[in-house]
Order: sequence, then C-alpha cells, then structure tokens
Amino acid sequence: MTKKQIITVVTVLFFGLINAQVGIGKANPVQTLDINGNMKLSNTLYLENPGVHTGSSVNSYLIVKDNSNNVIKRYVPETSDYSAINSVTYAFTAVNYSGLSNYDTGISASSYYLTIGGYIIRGGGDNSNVYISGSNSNIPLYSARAFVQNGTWRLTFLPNHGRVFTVPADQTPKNIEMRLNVIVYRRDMLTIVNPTINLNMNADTSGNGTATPPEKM
Amino acid sequence: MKNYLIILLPMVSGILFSQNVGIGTISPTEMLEVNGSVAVGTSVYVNPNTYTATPSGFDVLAVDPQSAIVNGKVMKVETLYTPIIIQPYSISNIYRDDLNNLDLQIPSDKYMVAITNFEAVPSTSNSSQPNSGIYSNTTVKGHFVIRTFESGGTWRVNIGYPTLNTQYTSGRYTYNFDVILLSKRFFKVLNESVTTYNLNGDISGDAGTAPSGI
Repeated sequence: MTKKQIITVVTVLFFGLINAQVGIGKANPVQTLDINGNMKLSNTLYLENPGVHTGSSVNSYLIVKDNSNNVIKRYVPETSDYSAINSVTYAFTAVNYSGLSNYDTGISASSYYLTIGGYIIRGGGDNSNVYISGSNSNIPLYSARAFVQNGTWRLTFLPNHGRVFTVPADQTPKNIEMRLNVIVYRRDMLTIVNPTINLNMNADTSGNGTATPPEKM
Repeated sequence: MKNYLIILLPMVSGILFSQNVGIGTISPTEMLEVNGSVAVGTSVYVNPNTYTATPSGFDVLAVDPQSAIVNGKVMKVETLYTPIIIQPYSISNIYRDDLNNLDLQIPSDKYMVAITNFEAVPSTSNSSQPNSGIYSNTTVKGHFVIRTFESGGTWRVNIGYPTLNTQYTSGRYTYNFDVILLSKRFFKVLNESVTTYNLNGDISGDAGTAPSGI
C-alpha cells in the first residue's frame, strides 16, 4: 500500500466519525474541513444550508463554472466579454427625415436579444423643433423596435402611414437626430426567450382581453 | 508515518493532512479530490479566481433548495429558474386603438415586468374608411399611454390614446411588443407600492434620499 492509499482509507474511515476540525495542507483548521488548496469533485456539490447574503449587492459576485476547465470562478463583468444584460445607446446624427428604417447593429441574433427602451427624436444639430408632417387631424402611431434580418439585429423607428419628420424651414439639410437606448440580452446567460404569444382581440369594444400565460416563467 | 500520528490524536487539536487527499480515488491531483459528490451542511468558503473570457464561455451556478435526497444541489441556473424571461406578444384585431386591459396572466407577486420593442400596425375592417391614425380635428391632441399595471394579482397591459380614437369604428391595430419578466427571486423591487412625490407645480424635484436598498 502506498502512502496515498493509506491516507485514502483512513480518510474514508474517519470522515464519517470524527467531530474534530480537519485541515488538509493546513495545521490550524478553522472550519470543519479546511483545505489550503484546491478541491476537485468528480460529481455534484450540495450546499444544504449556505445562508442568505444580506449585504449590499456591490459586495457579492455571481459564481460561474468556466466551461473550459470546470473551475468555479467569480464573475466580474469588467473581465468578461459580455454580461446577461448589456446596455448600448445609439446616437444617430444626419438621419433621413423619413426616420430609421433598417439599421444593422451587427449583433448576432443567435446569441443576443435586443430591445429598444427609451428614445428621443431631435432636429438636426440637436434642435428641439421637430414635427410630424401631414394631416393635422391624424396622429400616427409608430414602430420603435429591434428586429432580426439575415442573422443580425436591426433597429427601426418609423411613424406609421409613411408620415415623415419635419424640421424648421431654415434647416438644411432636413436631417434629424435620434437617440435609442438599447438593451442587449445574452440568450444563454440568465435569460430565456419564449415563443410569441398571439391573441386576436376580435375587435372587442371593451379593449379587454386575456393572453395565455408565458410558456416558461 | 507522520500522518499516522496525527490521525491517532484526532480529538486533541484537529486533524492535519499535509499532502493531497483522495476520497474514492488513490491518485488525488488536488489538495482534496473526491471521486463522487460532496454535501456540505452549512457554508463553503472559497477564494475563486476571476473569470476571464474563454471561447467556451461559462455557466452561472445556483443552488436548488428542493433537490432530491440532499437539498442545495449546485447546478446551472438555466436548468433551475431563469431570472430574465423575454416574452414577445402580437395582439391583433384591436378595436380602434383601445387595448385597455390585457391580462398577461403573469403573477405580480413573482415578477417585475417592463414593456419594450413597441410597434403599432394600423389596418381597417372597411376599406372605404381607412385607419389614418388617431383622429382629432380640434387643438386637443390627447395623450398616448403605453404601460403595465397590476390588477387582481396579475400584470396587465394598457396601450392607446385614452381620450381620442381612430376616425372610424372600423379602425383596427395590431400591437406588437415584448414584455421583459424579471423574477423577484433574483431582482428587487425597492418599494412594493407606488411612491408618490408631490412637486407642488414645480418642474424640478429632489427625492431627498434614494429609495432604501440602493
């Protein structure tokens, strides 16, 4: 029997019995088992009662498993390529006055999901005077969303009915400016995307309806 | 032989193993190597390295408090409970612009929600009466609402011009939007009820202190 084998046998015999603190590579263990080094498991780790973190969120990290070597590590957004939620603000200048039809962000549709949250439309040169052209008695709704085409996410911001933005008569060119707050969700980190829920309101005059619950929640 | 002596005196001052220890393995490659699983009754203290990007990526870990036989199984969070859920909706054939109370059947005690990626697609059920948008032939141009609200324990969506309408009753809209569900298991609502601030007619304000928890 080698020395390591003896230790293995003794360890197995004693671990179920002993109440004293055990140090591995450590002469003065301060916990029931105190390892001065790495621990490797071939299977599962159970934390039966790990306690609840009650401190500030800035004093905690997510724990992740590095898939290249199965080592448990702490997750720090600054040292990672991406996070679960990523924020990008797109500031577009010299946008055609008809609006933004299809801006290719180059962001992969298979890895990410994009949403447009806040937005602001301005005249050229950050001018606050910007209007919607056409009929004074019809107010268009609009499309402000991200959509997928040819594998990448695109941004669109268009008034309905082909209406366009207008700027003061003395402004040339007639371009506008647009700022879109875009949130980029990483599909495989903390996030799932459910299939679209379709509901036909059947022109119910009450405007009330009930959608089916999300498939996964 | 040193290890024998230490093991023979277990109750005196704790136990020391000064070389790699294997459980279920005779050739441990780390300070402690277990060929199997480990259950820890209380805390695990670790001093892990910081993850730096690798092409193979990473999985976020979490504990399942209800795992079988032994509670607290550490596993990929995606296999347990997903903190962020993106739910796209396409609500068609809406009467004029009125989506007043769409029950999403998402429990408000479990989730926060946000509405995003909005798109309104106009149509009409009578081609001689086109839907040209929200109609007002006076100087009153109304106000547009797009919001979620709680009622009866579930989240609801309200989109439209409350005081205006399409010109004709044949006007229809399809509203496409995404709802982001954020699980309260992972994210915090700072004030469980709406907090009211009276600005007394001013255009600026000062909350004084940030909401508690920030």
